[in-house]
Amino acid sequence: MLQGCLDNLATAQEALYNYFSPKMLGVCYRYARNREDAEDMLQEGFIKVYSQIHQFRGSGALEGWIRRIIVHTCINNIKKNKKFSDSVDLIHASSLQINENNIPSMLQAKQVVECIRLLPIGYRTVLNLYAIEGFSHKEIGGILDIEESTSRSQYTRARSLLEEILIKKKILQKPRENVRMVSGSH
Amino acid sequence: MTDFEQSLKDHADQFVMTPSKRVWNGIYNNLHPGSRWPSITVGVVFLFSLIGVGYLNNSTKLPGHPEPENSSRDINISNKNIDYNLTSDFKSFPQSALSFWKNPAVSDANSSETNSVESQFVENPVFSLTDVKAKNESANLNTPSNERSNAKIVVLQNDRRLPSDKMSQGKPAETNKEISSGKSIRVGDASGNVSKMIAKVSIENGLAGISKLTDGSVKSENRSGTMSGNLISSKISYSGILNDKEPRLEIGFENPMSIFPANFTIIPVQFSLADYESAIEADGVSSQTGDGTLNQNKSKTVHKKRNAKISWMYFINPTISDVSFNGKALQPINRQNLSPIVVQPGPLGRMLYNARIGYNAGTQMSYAFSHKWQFTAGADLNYSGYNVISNQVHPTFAYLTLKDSRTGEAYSKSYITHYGNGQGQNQISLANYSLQASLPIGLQYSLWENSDVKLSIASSIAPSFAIKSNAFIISADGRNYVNDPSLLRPVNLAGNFGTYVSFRSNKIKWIVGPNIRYQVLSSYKNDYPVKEHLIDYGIKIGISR
Repeated sequence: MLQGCLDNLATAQEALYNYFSPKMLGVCYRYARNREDAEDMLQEGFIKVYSQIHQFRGSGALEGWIRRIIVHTCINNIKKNKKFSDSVDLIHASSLQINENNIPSMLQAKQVVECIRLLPIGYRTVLNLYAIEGFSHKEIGGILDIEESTSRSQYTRARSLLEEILIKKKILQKPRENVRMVSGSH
Repeated sequence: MTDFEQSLKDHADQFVMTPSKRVWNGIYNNLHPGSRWPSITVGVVFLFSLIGVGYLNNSTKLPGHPEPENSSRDINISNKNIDYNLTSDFKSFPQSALSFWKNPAVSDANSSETNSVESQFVENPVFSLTDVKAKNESANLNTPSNERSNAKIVVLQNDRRLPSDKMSQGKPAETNKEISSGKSIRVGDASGNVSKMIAKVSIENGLAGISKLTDGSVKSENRSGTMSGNLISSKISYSGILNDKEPRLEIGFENPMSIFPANFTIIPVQFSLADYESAIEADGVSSQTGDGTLNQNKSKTVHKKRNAKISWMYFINPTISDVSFNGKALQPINRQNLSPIVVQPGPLGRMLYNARIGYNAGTQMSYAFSHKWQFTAGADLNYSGYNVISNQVHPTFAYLTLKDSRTGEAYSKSYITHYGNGQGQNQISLANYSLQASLPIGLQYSLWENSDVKLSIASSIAPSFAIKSNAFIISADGRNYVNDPSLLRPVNLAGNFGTYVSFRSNKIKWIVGPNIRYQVLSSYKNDYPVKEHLIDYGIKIGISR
């Protein structure tokens, strides 16, 4: 499949796309405002994947390599529309109110992702990059053009807010460190 | 990484979504651009074809086949044998013109000399249009009957004369744009001098311009006893007939003293417009034998006139936009019972809204395929919407209960919103609107008409493409409004119906009448169970030529 993509064969490219696109769309969905934006990011990301496929040296997993490209594509899209600043997210976060009666139930993974998407865009991006993608705060600062300290503070606030949301949805049992999600086996 | 973060990552990694087909189509087209060129090429060809058809049908300068020699509209007149006949309609001609025809020198058809033309030509002769087929009679004024010819010349009437000072002094009249050849008349001059004939075309109340015609070629024709000497012929051409008015062509001569033959005769005929057009189109206009040298052949010339069956209209339609709702909202999913219960929204779930001002503007082509019926097609922009009455609240969670269009399963979508469904101190108006580009096609039927006014009804369907839209939707519990443009349908279908009165003012045709536009498909995708249909009531105002 990889060789076919290097040879620009449409069938190989489509096979690669069909294999990785569902998961990558899930990645994009965590960064996007809505499904359409997520699909736009996915499309742009895969175009970059195919144009840079010759740079993949095979040293790591192809999925991880593709995922990095997708994440960077998502970040670039977000940065086009937003400047990440501490003050904006603070204002937004302080006005949030969680109405317990309005929180519906959802499947576990989708629940968690939807809860993440409820966060303000700045918090959400930092949380995604740090907690899920595994970037360091220093790397996040370089990606988002913010200070490392800003990244840390935003992540702290994001995590607190997410915990609060998850508790309200009875997905989290404890609101403090070392919390464990309520088991939701699939 | 803490346990929380690890759990978060695990759950996030388990989450997958199936992308829509458009994503792969976009990727494929980007990677393999050659495959999309045929569709782009076809689209460009189609677009230019539309533009070309519209231009050609509205242009008064149409490419045509060159007139063959001796076409039915080319009439060679010998300077000897063609006499002129004036119809009774010429009784109102100016005396000076009449006197010209009465001149004995002119009436001497046997004379081959042009010796007394100078004193004869006073003003330009004026002729009128008559029926070639039907009429072969004319009131003869002081013309010997034995010299009368039955030859016919199709010329046009103009009751305005060329400036006599310019004509008599031989100065060329103003030169205007060239006019295409639609009919021609040849006049002869036995003197052998090259003549220049000037024609003036007047349309309706004004002058289209004066064209200096090219010199004709020297022609001679051998008919027994009919002519001698050389003929100088000049061709008069004019552009097509416009509107419903009788076209007019005034013939004058730059230097009539030297070129006008003494026995030059022109036989005027009078046409009705319809007869004229049918005469031009018809084959085999009867040639006259005898003394006349009318030379008519079947014409294969392309009749160059604007296609009267196609017209273009440009319109604007200010509207009042309203909305209708149907369909029922789904109750929130019960965790114990996964089957959603469909309930009628209660009082809190009823939307408060009012109408907005909208507009519709565009262009429409009409093709008359029968006397009463017309096929219409066009393109327009439509803006419509309504205002939702809301009030500002603290940011709060709200959700919509949607239905997956592929699986049919109900699911919830959460939002954080600042807008409540109610009225109060912090009242705010939320704009739900849609700006759409449409391609309507339909039919128009003429109910009644006379020469001035026409009453018709029209109906069309219009595929529409949403350029920009906004949607505030009431939440499942009816307490809030959430904004989710992703639920809006990008492609829609609209129906139009209207009755119009059309009338002509100067050179412009006006079309005015009420129009209703109804959005057939819901504004929202099938995921959202409530159906919204935008309705526009307006007055359509259009102009056409």
